[in-house]
Amino acid sequence: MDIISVEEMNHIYWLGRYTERVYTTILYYFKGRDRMIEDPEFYITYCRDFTIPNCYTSAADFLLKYAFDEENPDSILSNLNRAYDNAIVLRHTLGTETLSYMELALNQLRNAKNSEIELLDLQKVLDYILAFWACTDDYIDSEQIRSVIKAGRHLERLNLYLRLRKSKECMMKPFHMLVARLRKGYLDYDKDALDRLGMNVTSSQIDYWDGVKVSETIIKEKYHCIN
Amino acid sequence: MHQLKFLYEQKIHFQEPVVNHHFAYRCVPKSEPRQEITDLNVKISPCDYWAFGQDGFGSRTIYGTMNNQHQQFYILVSGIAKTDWRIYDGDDHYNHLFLTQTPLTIPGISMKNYLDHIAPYIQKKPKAYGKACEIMDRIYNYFTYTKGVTGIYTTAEQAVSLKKGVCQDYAHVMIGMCRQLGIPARYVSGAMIGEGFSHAWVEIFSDGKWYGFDPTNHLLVDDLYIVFARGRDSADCIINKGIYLGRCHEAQEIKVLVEEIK
Amino acid sequence: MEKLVLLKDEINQLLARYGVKFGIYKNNEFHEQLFPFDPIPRVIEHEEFKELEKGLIQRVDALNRFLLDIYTEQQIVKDGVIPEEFIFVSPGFLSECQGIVPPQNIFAHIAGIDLVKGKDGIWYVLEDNLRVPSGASYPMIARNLCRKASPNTFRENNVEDNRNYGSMLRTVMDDVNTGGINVVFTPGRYNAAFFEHSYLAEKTGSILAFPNDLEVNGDYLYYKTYNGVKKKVGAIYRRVSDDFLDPMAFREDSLIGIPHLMEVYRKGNVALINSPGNGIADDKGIYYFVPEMIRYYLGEEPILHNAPTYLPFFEKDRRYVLENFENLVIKDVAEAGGYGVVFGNQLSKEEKQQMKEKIHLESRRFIAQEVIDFQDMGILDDQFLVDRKADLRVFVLSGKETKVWKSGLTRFTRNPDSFVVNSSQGGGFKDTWILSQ
Repeated sequence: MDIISVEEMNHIYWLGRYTERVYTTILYYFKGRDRMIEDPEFYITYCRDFTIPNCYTSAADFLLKYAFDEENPDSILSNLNRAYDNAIVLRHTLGTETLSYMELALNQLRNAKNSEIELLDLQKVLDYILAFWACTDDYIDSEQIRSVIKAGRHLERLNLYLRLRKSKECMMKPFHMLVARLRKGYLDYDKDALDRLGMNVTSSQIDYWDGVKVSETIIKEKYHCIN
Repeated sequence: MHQLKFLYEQKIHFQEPVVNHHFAYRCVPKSEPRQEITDLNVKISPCDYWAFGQDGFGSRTIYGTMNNQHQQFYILVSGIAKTDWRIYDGDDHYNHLFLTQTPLTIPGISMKNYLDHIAPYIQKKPKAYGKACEIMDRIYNYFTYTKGVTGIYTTAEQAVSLKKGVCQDYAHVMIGMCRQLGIPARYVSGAMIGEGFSHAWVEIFSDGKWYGFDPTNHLLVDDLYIVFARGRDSADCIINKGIYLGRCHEAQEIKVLVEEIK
Repeated sequence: MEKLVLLKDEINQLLARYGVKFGIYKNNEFHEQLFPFDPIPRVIEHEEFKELEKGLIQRVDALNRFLLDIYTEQQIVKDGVIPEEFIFVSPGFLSECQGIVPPQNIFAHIAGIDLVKGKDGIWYVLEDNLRVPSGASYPMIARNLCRKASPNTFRENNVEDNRNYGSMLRTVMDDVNTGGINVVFTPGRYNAAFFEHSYLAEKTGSILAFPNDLEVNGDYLYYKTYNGVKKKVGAIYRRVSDDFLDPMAFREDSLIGIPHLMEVYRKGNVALINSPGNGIADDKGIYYFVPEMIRYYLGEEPILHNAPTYLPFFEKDRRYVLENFENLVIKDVAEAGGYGVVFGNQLSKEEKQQMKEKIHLESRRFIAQEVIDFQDMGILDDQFLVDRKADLRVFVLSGKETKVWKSGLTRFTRNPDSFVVNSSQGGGFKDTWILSQ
């Protein structure tokens, strides 16, 4: 077993979750922006889909604050900042080379704020996150650490998909990947909660709200976000 | 030669439970030429661990930790000391250090004035030993033993202007004056027969030997004293120290006992 | 080298990409800043460095002997070479360290010696930093990026590789390790030098430990892992200052310390890199006595020069200082990081008078030095080559052997009127090339 403290494990797990959140969010943001060309009011639906508060006064306000506002806890930038905060304390585990993609992603997103071609700039943020993940796979020797990052990613994806009320088919892949990672036994998790979530997402009538709640209880208390 | 039974006991009651409690004590006499310690018994509860240690002046410590939540804490140290004051410590290793004033001993205006005033009497006495005797006589007469007017941070200078204090203040003043006259002097904490409290006194270096003076009681230190710790001043000899997480008051009871075994 | 100059922006972008930053506090808020890099290296000839190397090893060996002596026999004081006034009242002297003999007798494992080169071509030692000197990581990573940006530059010049700092440090850690894992102990992410802490943990293959990750149990120090297993720690490269290291021995209000660490250290059950108590040897007052120390402990003539220094504590020096006040720089021995430094000729009439009085009253508190006219170095300010003041911090590592890292941190001031070269006061850095032939 690797020599890892509780807090470090926490950072590894949340690094997985926040990078996934940024990644999936940007993909949906692209779709949302596309819809908003014809339907500017779509941002209201967007917020509802993500179950985030609609704190925006107009479509223009949404465009300004949702991606780049550091004060807005739901913004893409805030989530990337959290990913960065979890990564920066893990340099000795992730490696400087891996970490450089996180630096690039953050610098890129910050600089995209006043850009004329912000969506194209956001595409690069996606590229850097993908490269970051590839690096974690390639560079990190410890299977344990790789597994925990991935468990965080799959759980986050599942959680977002439940919020977005995705179909049963969409849900299966992240769920099975999560189960496979958790079974490796590197993280303490609640087996009952996992089973309950499994029953739910495989049933014909998914109870989305219950799924969201249960997904947050799978990973045990000690890995909960330290803010 | 005397045989003394000694005991140090502390009970702490925290108003609310505390965690991550770290403690360190300097209440364990160690065997040295003038005191031989046997039958040492230590009880600490609750605690994750405790161990013996040592500080920079060679005093013995007990340190340990209790991480889990607790509301009571108890320590007991007891044993038997065979004391013989006729054996002297001649270690001059730290004499330079014991000549250096500290913030607690350094004389200010009132102490210097007082020292100027008594200097002619002191200078008449031969050797450091004789001078220290004179200083002790003067301090004993100058001070009125009074509890509650001084605290652990009170300096020798402040005590001199108050003309009042407890054993710690008597010791600091005597140390400050000795050092001012070029006599190495060190602070000693420990216990003396009877009492019920810990005590503090002074050792000064004269003609290759350390001599004990108890200015509070106007006594030369004999077989009825047990040494816990030595240092430059009281800050080096803190008997109990504890840190913990928890916002609360603590109530503590301390019992110190020294009895002669006949 | 011209190629490197052209690539200044690209190299700085690479440094940003790799997160080469240092933190500062402004209005109680933490900010991270990039450390501006100037691509023109400081170049030290092979022969010149060999001489420096000898002098540095000699100096650090003497300082380590001094520390051992002060915390055990104190022979140098008893022999009257250094007055006791300079030892026992110094805030750098820690009575808690008396009697402790660290593994391999080494106190200053990592010494950051600050030097400047005078216009006379002589290197002068300005300061010995023996507590927690920082900065080695910057030239180390910058070199890596420069080699990437312009491989030909390094084909054409015979430059000693400096990327071995991690393995040198690792060797020191292993040399003094008392049995257990190696850790780099950082006060946390919001420390000015956090980049360096995490980078050196990576490069030495150590665990990066934060406060609360480490705890004493009984006679040993342990790293607490998430599954409840405790790993014994044999060596800590600690980047927490003495004051905060152990709340039971030093500042009680320290939340980043390890309670009872000093007890375990005294028992010889963990190595602390650097040892606590080193402040007594890099005290600005003690600096004056380093050449004497070299003669006393090693029986050798000092190879390196001190800047001409006066101690107002001595009557003769005090008279000199007061008479030649205009030409001297006065330093408060208790301050560090470029603070507490005043130039005699830059003070107003009143300030001068006040300073002179202070020197009279608290003579032990100050030292005075001749202002060394040191060589300027060219830096790129926008497109233009301008001359600025620069110093050099060389790293000397001591384990079983004393070794000088064949590079160093060259820091320069961006302010043309400033003589104070310090990263906490703005300014940038350069790589330092030691030529291999």
